[in-house]
Amino acid sequence: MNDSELARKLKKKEEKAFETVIRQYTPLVATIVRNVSKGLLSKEDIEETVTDVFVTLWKNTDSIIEDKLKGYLCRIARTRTLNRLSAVRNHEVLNIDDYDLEDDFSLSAEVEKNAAAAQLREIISEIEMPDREIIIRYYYYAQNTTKISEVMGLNLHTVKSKLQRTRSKIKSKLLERGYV
Amino acid sequence: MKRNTMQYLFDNMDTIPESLENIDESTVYTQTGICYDHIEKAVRTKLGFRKSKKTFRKKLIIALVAAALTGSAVSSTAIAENYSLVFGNFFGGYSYAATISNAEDVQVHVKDSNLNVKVAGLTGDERSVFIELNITKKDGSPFVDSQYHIAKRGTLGYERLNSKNTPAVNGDVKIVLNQDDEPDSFSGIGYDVWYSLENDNKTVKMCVLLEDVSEYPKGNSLEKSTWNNRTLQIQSTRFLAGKADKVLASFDNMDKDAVIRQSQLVRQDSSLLSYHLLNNTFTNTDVFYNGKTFDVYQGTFKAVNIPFDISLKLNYQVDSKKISIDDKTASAVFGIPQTDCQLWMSATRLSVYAKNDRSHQGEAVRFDREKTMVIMDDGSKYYLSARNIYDSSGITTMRLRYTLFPSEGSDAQGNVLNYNNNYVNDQMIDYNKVAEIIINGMTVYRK
Repeated sequence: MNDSELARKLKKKEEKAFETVIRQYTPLVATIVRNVSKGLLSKEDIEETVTDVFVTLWKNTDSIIEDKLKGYLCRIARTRTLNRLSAVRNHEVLNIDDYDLEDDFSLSAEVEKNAAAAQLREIISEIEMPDREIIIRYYYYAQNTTKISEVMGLNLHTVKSKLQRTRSKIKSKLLERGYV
Repeated sequence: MKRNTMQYLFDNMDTIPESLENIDESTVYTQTGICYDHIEKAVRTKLGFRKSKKTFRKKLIIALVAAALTGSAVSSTAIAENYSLVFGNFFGGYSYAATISNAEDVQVHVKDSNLNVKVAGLTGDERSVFIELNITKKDGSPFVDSQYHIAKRGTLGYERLNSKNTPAVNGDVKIVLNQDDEPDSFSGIGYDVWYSLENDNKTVKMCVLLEDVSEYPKGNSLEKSTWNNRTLQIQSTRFLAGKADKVLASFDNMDKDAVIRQSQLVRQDSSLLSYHLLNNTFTNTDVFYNGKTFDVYQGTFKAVNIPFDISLKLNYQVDSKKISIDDKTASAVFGIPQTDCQLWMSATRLSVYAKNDRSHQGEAVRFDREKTMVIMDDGSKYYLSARNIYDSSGITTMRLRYTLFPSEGSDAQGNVLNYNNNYVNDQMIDYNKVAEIIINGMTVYRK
């Protein structure tokens, strides 16, 4: 069953489809929770967060757009993880080692944000490999640059510069299309 | 102007490019040790899908035995079908001697004509606001009979409220935050709701704490309130009132051992609790802090309907105190060079903002919870619990919460315990009565 079919069945509250979603996406959701939390959550907390992600999905099936199930799950996973991190107290200090202020740029209205997001797939397809893979791993799968350099066999500095260049390219392309 | 990030765009991208769907999954997924079966069971339990009773009875016995082995005061008569040693919402008890401003100017609109809703207090700072409501029936009758008296904290609703008029529903309380004009940039508002029964159960006190939980407050004016020109709408349908039938265990304080014992009870029975609450097949227990001891009790809860729909116009003066710290002190306290360090103290939070030396970007700021606290005029103290954030713009931001204990407890492995996301002991204080602020063992402010 592809994502569109699963999404349709979820909207009808079909439990079997929901079971399939859980089975299929537990590894991805758990990965995103683990990656976004940067190892600060215990295994129990990761399990609880993953559970909460699927519970949230079930309670908000009306919000699923048929071909965006995976992205929607990723977004819920990120949000729930950040919520949980804000509730966990610990002695460790949280460092956002990969965050870069240059990520930010302005999009003026909600409508334009969504339109820009819809354009992103097309924009990404115009970007050459391996830059394309790097940016997907970073933003979609929440892998950090160290992990990306490891699995892709690239120098860490190379990954970081390619990431920065690709971000600038995406931003330029959005600018060309009038979204920034 | 609103800001957005690349992350948002990726989250809302329609589908992943086909060429990348062939990525070797083993290079994407992290080994987390999370089992699909376990997740499916937990999800089904939370949502109330059917489950076999046999499995849970076995778990119950294991939990009770474990509790007995740890030496907690659990009666052996608790091993019976209609008892369950489970842990509901931990009511750490809120207490405050806060600077509550006069809320008479707050406009309150109540839909239900049988209720009086009064805003008893309103306070906060540029990033958090606390509202206390007193709800009574016009005919003066109690909401629930006198046996039910236990305050029940709502499940921690740190859901992120959208900046537009998207409601966030936390159980039976819905909160909507509107704005009249273009909103300031922020990435999320968290909220927490809790309530208690007062005045012979004739008054429901409901408290709402809103907090801007944006992770990256770069570029925001430190003195600019998130809250001005906003309308807050609170809709409620019901709450849960509880009564204690039997105290099963009592702890003088939340020391580490007590917390570990609690955690063992909690973790082994969390799914059991959910199942039985949803199916209404077992009475449940809770922990109640009566100001002196933490009691684990077995009790029953029932729903009480109090439908109301109120809106409040938030437009108040930020109620906080600004303290500047010189560069030398700030650098010594935090362990790395800091400049322009400011503390903003309110009833709900102590916020720390400082500029850090870019050459130390990414380094961890030192924070020792055992040695970080505020001491009040009367000698009492509140520890500070922090979320410490660095960002690459060179601004350190710390949002420190006042707590009764230096830690919320940890298990034998040193992992922090998290009781179903409920705060153990978030406190509010009267910041005008703070005599001294100590961070990492060094005094940074003395009245």
